[in-house]
Amino acid sequence: MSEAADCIFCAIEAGEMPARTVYETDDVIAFLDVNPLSRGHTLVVPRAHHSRLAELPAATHGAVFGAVHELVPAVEAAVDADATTVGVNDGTAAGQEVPHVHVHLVPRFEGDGGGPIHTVAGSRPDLSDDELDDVAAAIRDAGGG
Amino acid sequence: VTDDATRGPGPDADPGAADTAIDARLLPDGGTVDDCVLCEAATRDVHGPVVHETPHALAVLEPSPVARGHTLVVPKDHYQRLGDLPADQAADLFRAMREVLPRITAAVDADGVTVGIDDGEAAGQELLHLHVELIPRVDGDGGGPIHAAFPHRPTLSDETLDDVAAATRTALRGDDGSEGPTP
Repeated sequence: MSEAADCIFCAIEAGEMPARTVYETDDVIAFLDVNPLSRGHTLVVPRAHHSRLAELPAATHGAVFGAVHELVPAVEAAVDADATTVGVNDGTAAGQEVPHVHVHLVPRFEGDGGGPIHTVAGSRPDLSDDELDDVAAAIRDAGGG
Repeated sequence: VTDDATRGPGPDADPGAADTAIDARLLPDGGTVDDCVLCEAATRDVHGPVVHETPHALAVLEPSPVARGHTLVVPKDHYQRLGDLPADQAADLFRAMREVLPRITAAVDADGVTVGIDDGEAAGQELLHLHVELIPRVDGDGGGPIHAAFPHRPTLSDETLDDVAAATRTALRGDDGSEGPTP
């Protein structure tokens, strides 16, 4: 697998660094986060080194999120959670620290004091209907997909 | 209640899809989802402008955005939880996400994206129709990582973490009694 020097997830993937691995396929590995946000906090990681979601080849992207789909109910069952926050900090502007794509699965419990995903965004913009229409048109017109 | 003429594809375009749309309006408890805004979006483009579509999923702009370009990717059929979604529909949902994400980034000139699912009410899910949030981020926008949503973090012993890992592997095998026959 492609591997980046000094990448801790590549080191885990290569077996050079210990981890509590819970899931492995040819393309994906999942292991417990060493600094868990809750009991059962799991990271789903492509074996190959890519820093951003948009860099993942389609097959790898599919394998990563296929694993997420499979793992969420299993992790919840394992820790008897009520819900799960699924999240990706995609890019340093979104708070990404390890530059190797990883999906956080954070089990949630009633009354755990945590919040929804949208609370981590910056200040809320005040957009008019016209501005929203312009954004929608720009997304439809953008290439890159 | 809706006029078929207001829907996107004609009702005769794909009989299978039309059946699916009807089924989607029934909840597991037999109730209807007439008050589900994301089901409405799937049929009549009323929640927000549709910016991308795949066979089983839609991307719509969040009408109350927390950032410019804030988009929701949703299955057309009504499912609340990710685990409720059949695997083929989950694959299509995440394919739609993959396709629309770079377009959003380009359209609003974002530096990063917060991708997230509040999967279940205890995770803060408000619209009880599964949705993946794509929140464009720019350098210095004052927001944080996903971690910022979690003020209370546990201190877990190595032994506890070992137990959690073992329990997860067991749950994945489906022999923990929660799925399939109890051994």
